[in-house]
Amino acid sequence: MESLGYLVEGLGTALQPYNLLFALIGCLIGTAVGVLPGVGPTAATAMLIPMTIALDPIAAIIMLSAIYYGAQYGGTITSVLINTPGEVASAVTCIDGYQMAKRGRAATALAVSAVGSFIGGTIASFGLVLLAIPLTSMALKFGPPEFFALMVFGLTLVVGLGGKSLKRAVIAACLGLLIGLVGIDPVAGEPRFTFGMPELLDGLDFVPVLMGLFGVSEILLNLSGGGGAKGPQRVAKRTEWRVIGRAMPAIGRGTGLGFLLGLVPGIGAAVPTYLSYALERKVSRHPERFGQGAVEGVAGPETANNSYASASMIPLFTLGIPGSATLAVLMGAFLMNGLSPGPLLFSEHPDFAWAVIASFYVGNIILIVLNLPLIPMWVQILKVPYKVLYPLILVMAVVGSIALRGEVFDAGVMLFFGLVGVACRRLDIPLAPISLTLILGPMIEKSLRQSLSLSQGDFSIFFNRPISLTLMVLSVVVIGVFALNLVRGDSRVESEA
Amino acid sequence: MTKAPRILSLALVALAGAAIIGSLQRDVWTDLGPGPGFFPLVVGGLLLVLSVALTVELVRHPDDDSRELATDGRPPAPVRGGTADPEEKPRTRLGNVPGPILVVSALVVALMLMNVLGFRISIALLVLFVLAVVERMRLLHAAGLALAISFGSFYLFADLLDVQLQVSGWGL
Repeated sequence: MESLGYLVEGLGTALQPYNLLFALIGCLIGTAVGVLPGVGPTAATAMLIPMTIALDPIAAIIMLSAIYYGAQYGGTITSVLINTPGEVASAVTCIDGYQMAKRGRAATALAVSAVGSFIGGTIASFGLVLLAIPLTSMALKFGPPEFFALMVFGLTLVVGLGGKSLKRAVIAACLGLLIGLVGIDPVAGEPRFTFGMPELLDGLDFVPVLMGLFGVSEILLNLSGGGGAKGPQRVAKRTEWRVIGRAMPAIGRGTGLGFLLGLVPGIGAAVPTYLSYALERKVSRHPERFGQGAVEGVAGPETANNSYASASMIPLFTLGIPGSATLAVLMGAFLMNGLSPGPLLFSEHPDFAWAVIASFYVGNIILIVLNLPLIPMWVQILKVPYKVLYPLILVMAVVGSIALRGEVFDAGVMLFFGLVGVACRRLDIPLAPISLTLILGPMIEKSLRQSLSLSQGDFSIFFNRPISLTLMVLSVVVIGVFALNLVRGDSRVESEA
Repeated sequence: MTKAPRILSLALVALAGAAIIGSLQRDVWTDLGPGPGFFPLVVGGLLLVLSVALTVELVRHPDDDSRELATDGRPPAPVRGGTADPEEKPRTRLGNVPGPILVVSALVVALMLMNVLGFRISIALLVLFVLAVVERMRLLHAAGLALAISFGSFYLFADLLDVQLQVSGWGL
């Protein structure tokens, strides 16, 4: 209850016009950053830090935090409208969000995303107030074996992303893992699969790979589809609020999943979204609708995304551990303003800590107030004739790729993966597992090798720790269910899986 | 029915083989546990088994090649020599050369020229080619749009947002 008292005081500070203005500016910049390819929240936050030196520390951190969670929503817009994720965390939204747009339901997809983001972000902020310290101490029990077990569980769920064929889903997962192996080995520091190209030493960045797999391959397939290039349906229906109401259970599940994963540092914003998508597909009575424009396929991941963004502040605030690159930059901003995130923050600077936490609620309200009325404006993009829109998308994809390091090479990577995406679609290989394992792969390998180094090569380390044992058992159960379906339905996993 | 899926599945087999060979050139197991070759070997092995199974499936049931796609429900794109109505093929100013090939080729050329000509000129040429040749837009309209897109995106990203984009020796 003491926390709630502090929160009310914090709200008073956050609602001061000066702080409110910077929350609004942060939300606007964040949304724009999410929409524009290549300028991710990390870069935007880093670029704006010098400008915040002249500001009051509370206003500065409120603005930078707003950029962070505003970007989580902005990335959705391009995923839904042009099948090109502005952010890695929005890649999974391409699957059903773009299908909704193709059926004239872009406004509903964007609205459900805005509502889900609001609910997920707000509830996770409540969690930050009430459960931060006990949950964080539990999250710290996550060592390499627990991390590995969690990733394995995520991988087993990947098969749920695979559409109709288990074989093709696992092939896709393997492809993603192999792509993730390119670069310097994370443990021994040895280059692998770099073919002597120095540009590959740092590995393949997610952004050009995902832009190629989803955006460019979509364009190439549209061009080869006969009768000229065709994009999403230009006549967009109005927002279907009843459909959004039906997505509430998915929003609830996304909130819980994003919140729990936000407590574990290093997970990254993409993982909760993919796991949420897999979860929604699993619990759905009509999994065959996924990939065809299922609203739950947008609601769950988008909610998980924003819930994760708020919850990932918990390890930063309570322990001083940044869970992602953007949060590390944000932590730098804390330090520049003479504040050390960690257990002492709440005792030494309670006014600051609670004002920033309260600003998350305010920011979430600003985001939904800002974004719902703007949906009709965003949907107008679909009225641009596709023959003009697709060259523009190509240019955005080129810019987004080059922006990472200033290298044209990365745009070549984007084009290459565009062709890979076309090949995969020709072979009926789903793209979602590729993008998930591309992100999970390096984490899986690192945690596996760290765990086995700790146990000197003994695999029982994964089974004699309670959290990892539980996750491993869950993985076995999931695999068992799929194996059962295989036996029942020949080599095809039926939709009910 | 085309041979493309079977050729692509064989490419997957080759990729898996390459991954296995690449992993065996590194330490698979060390005194401290798995080495740099362990994970690629496991993944490559699994991919090899599954891609061989996929190839066998495609050879045995070639008709499945034209099955509906699971990824997003889009029906497979008609290909040259396939069942698509020839009347519906996209027509470009370069006759029967398919649009995707023209777009990919133009993008490759634009990227190769970008370090020399700079972002603005190479992107303007790319967009001009796509609009005027692939989409058969009127040349003047295409040129205007190409300049607007290339210079506009450079202004937005490089000038306003400080993104590092290529500039030619003569400042464009």
